[in-house]
Amino acid sequence: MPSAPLLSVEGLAIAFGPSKAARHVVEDVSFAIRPGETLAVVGESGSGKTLTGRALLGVLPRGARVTAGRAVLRDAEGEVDLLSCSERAMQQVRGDRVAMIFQEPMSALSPLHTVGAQVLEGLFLHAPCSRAEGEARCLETFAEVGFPDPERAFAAYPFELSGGLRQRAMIAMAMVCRPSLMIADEPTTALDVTTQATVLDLIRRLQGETGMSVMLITHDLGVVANVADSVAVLRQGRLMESGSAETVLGAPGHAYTRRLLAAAPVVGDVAPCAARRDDPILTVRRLSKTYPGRNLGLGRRAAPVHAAADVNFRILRGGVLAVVGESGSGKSTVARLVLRAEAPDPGGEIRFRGRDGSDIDVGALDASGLKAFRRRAQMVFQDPFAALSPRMPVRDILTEPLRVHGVGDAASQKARAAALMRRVGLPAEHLARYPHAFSGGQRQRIAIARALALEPELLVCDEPTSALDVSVQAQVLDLLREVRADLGLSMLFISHDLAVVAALADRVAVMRRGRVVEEAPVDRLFGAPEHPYTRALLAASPEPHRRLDLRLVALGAGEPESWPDPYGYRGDAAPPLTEIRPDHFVRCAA
Amino acid sequence: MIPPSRTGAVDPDAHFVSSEPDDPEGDLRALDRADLDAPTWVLIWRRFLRHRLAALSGLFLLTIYLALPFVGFFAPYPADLRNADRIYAPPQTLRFFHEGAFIGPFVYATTESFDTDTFQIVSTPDTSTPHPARFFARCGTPHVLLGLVETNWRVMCPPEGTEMFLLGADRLGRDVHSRILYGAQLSLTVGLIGVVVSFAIGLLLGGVAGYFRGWTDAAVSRLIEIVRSLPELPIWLALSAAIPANWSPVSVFFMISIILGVLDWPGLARAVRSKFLALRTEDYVRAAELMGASPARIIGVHMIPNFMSHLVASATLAIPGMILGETALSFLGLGLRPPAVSWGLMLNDALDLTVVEIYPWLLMPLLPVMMVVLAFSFLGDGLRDALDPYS
Repeated sequence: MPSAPLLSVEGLAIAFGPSKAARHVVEDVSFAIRPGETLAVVGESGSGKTLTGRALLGVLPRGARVTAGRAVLRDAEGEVDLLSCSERAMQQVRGDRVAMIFQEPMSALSPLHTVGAQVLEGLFLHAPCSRAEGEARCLETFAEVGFPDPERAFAAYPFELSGGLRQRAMIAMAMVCRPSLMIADEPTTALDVTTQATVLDLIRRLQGETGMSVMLITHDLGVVANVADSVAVLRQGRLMESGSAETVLGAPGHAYTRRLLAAAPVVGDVAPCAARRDDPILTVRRLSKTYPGRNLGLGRRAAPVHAAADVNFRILRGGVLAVVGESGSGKSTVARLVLRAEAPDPGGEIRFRGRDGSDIDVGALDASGLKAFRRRAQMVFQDPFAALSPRMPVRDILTEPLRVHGVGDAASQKARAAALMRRVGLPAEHLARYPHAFSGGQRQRIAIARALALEPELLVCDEPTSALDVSVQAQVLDLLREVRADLGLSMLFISHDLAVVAALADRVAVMRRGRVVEEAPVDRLFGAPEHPYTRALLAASPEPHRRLDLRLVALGAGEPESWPDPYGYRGDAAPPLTEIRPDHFVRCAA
Repeated sequence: MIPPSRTGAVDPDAHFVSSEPDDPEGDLRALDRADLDAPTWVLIWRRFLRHRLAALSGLFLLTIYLALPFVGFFAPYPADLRNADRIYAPPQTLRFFHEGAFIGPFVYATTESFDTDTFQIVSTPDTSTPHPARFFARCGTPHVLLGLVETNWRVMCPPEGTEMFLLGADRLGRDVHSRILYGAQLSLTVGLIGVVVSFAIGLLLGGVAGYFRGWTDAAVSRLIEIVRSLPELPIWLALSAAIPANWSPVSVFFMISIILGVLDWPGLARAVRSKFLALRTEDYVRAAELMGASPARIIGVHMIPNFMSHLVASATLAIPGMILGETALSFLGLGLRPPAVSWGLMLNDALDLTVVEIYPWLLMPLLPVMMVVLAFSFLGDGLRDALDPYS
C-alpha cells in the first residue's frame, strides 16, 4: 500500500495582471509527491515551472498571483494548504517544513555575511536554540552536504567558494531545519557538468538519509531520469503529462514528451566523417593566450592567466571540429583567437587556406587583409538575445554584412535577406520585424542567417545552443547540419556539452585549464576515451537512459594534480600531447 | 484537461496524458512576443505613456515651449511698461459676480495709498464699477510676433480705464504676471542651450574615452574628475563676473548658457563613456566587428542608436539644473542683466527680506521655476524608466 502524498497540488492557476485583463501563465496544474520521493517538474522556458514552485512557498514575483487551486502539505506537523494560509502561517512553513534552493547560488546568498551566519539565521528563525547548539548543528549539516572542511566553510564568504561549493552551501541552508519538502529550482543548471553530477548525487543521498521529498524543477530530461521517481511535464503553463518516471520516460504518452525525449542530446549518435583528409582549411599551431594578472595594487600583480596554452589543431575542409570543455577551459578564447577578435601570444600560427587556394596567415593580417578574411570566416554567438541589435529590424541585421562589404545593390541585398530567412526556416514576411518579437530559437536562426550572409567558408560557433531550450536546441543543431552539408561549410564548434557535439562534429578536442587533453575522431573519442577527464565528462553527462557513473566522474573531474598517472601534472609542467593510436591524441607522459 | 482523479488527492502513480496537440512547426513560424514587434521608439513611447505623471509633464513642457515665441500675444502688458501710480500694487482678483449677478471676468479699479502708521501700502478697490477684461482684443503697444508681424492683438487685454495686475506689480509698477511670461523666454531656453553645449562636449570627450580607452580614457577621466572637483558656485560667479559690462543682453544670455553648459558636461561625458564601455562588449557590437565593419560604422550604426535614448534621458534630467543655475546667478545679480527679463532677475528684486515680507507677490516667479523643474524631473524619470521596453 503506497503511502499518502506529502504534497498534493490540485488545479493550480497563476495569472499576471489585474483580474479584468489577467494573463494566465499556469493553468489547472495538478500533481502529488509522496514522502521520500522526488517529483521532477520538467518544462522549457515559459512553461511556468518556476512559478509553480514559487507559488507553493508564496514567493511569486510582483504582479503574479494564484487564482485557483489547492496545495495541501501533510507532514508530521499537521496539514496546511500552502495556497490559502496566512502570511504568518507561511513564515512558519517556509524554511522549516518546505525549503527552496535556487539556480544561481551567488545571487541567493548575501555577499556581506559569511555562509555560516546565513545558515544560522535560517536555523534560529525556526528552531530556537543556543548559539553553540546552532553552530554545532550547522557544522553537522555542512559535513553532511560534503564540505571537505566544515569549519572553514562556516567562516567563508560566498564569493570565496566555487560554484559547486556555493550550491552546497545553499543546500546546507535548506537542509539545516530538516524540511519535509525541498523545492530545487534548476539547482544544477549554472554548474559545470561534472559538478552537476556530484550535486545531484548529494541531493539523492541526503534524501535517502533524511526521508525528505524533493520537487526538482528542471529542463533537463537527463537529470530527471537520474533522480526522479515521478515526472510532471509542463508546457506553456499546462500539464502535458504526468506519472511515474518509468512510464513517462519509458512509454511517453504525449507527443510533446516524445519530442523532448527525442531532442535530448545523447552521446552515441555519431555523425559520419565528410571531410577530406589532406585538405585543411584551418591549421593552428602553438596557439597561446596569456592575460596579465589582476592588478593587486602597489605595483603587485597576480600571476598571469594562461587562457589557452599551446593549442594545436587542424580543421579539414567540410569538417567540424568540436572543442569541448567546462567553464574556464579556454574554449571560447580559442574561438576568438582563430577569428582574430583578440591577438594571440606571439609564436603561434593560425593558417587559413581558402577554397581558391589562397594561403592566409591570420595572425599577421593588416586591416584590409583582415576585412577580406572576415568575409570567409564568421561567428555565431551563444546568447541570441545579446547578439542582435535591438534597434535594427531583421532585414537590416541580415543586410548589414553585405553593406559593410559593399556586396550588391539595395535590391539584391533585400532579396538575399529574404533567401537567408527561408534558408534558416523562418518566413520571409518576418523581415520587417524587430528581434525582440522572436523567441530564443528564432533569434538564433536569425544570427545564423547573418553569419551565412557573406557565404563564409568557416563558421565558428561559440556555444550556439546552450542558451536554448532542449527541443529548440535539437532544431538548431539540425539546421547547422543542413547548412553545413548544403554550403560545404567547415566549422569550429565550441560547446560545454559532449552530447551536443556528438551529433555534429567529426573531430573532438577536449580542453581543460587552457590545454587540450584529448583529441580524436568523434567515434573514437566517445567509443574509447582514454583521458580520465574525458571519461569524467562522458560519465557526468546526464542522459535519459543512462545512470551517472560517479566513480568515473570523481576520478577525472578534479584538478590536473589529482589525475592518476600518467595523466596528472602540476602547474605548467604538462606532459605532451601523445599520439597513442593513429589520429588519437592524449595528453599523457610517455 | 481533467486530471485523472479529482476526488480527494491526486494519485502520483496515475499516468496522465493531456489531450492538447503538439505543433513544433507552428512554434517556429509564430511570433513569440508579438507585443514587442515594433521599432524601439514605439515601444519606448508606449511604455512612456503608461507613466502618467511623466506624460503629463511632457505635455506641459511641450505646451509652454511651443508658446514661448508667442509670449507677446499671451501677456496683457509689455514686460517693461511702468506705471508710476501703481508701484508695488498688490495682486488684483479676477472676479465674476458683481452685486450677485454674473457678468463674466472683470476687476475693480484699485487705488493704492501709503499708510504712514504701518508703513504698508493699502489698496482700496472701488467696488461700484466692474471693469470687464477684454479677450482677443487689440490694446496697448504693438508687439512683434515671431519677429515677423507687428500687431497689438492679445489673448487678454486689461480693461479700459484701469489696470489689471493679477499677480501684482513690482517696484517700478510693472505687471508681474506679464513679466513672468516674458521671463520664461530666457529662463527656459538657457537650459536648452546649456544642455546642447554640455551634450556636445560630453558626447565628444566621453565617446573618445570610451572607444579608444587606454591613455585617452585616463586623460579624459582625470579631466572629468578635476572639473567635478571645482566648487561650482564660485566658478560660476567668477566666470559670470568676467563677462564685460558693455555686452548686449543677448550676448550675456548666450555666455551664461555656455558657462552653465561648460561646467555641466562631466556628468554627461561620464554617462557616455560608461555606456560606450558597456556596449563595446555586447555581442552585437562584437558581431559587427567580426563582420569587418569600420570603427566609424560600428559607432554610428550599431552603438549610437542603442544609447542615444539613454543620453536623452540624462540630458532631460540635466536641464532643471541649468534652469536653477541661471535663476541662482541672476538672483545674485551676476547672470542676466536688465533690461532682459528672466525669473532669476525678477527674484533679484526680492533680495531684501523686508521686501519679501511686505510685497510677497514678488516671489511669484518661484512658482513657475518649481513647476518647470519638477516637470523636467518627472519627464526625465519617465523617459529613463521607458528606455528598456523589452521586459
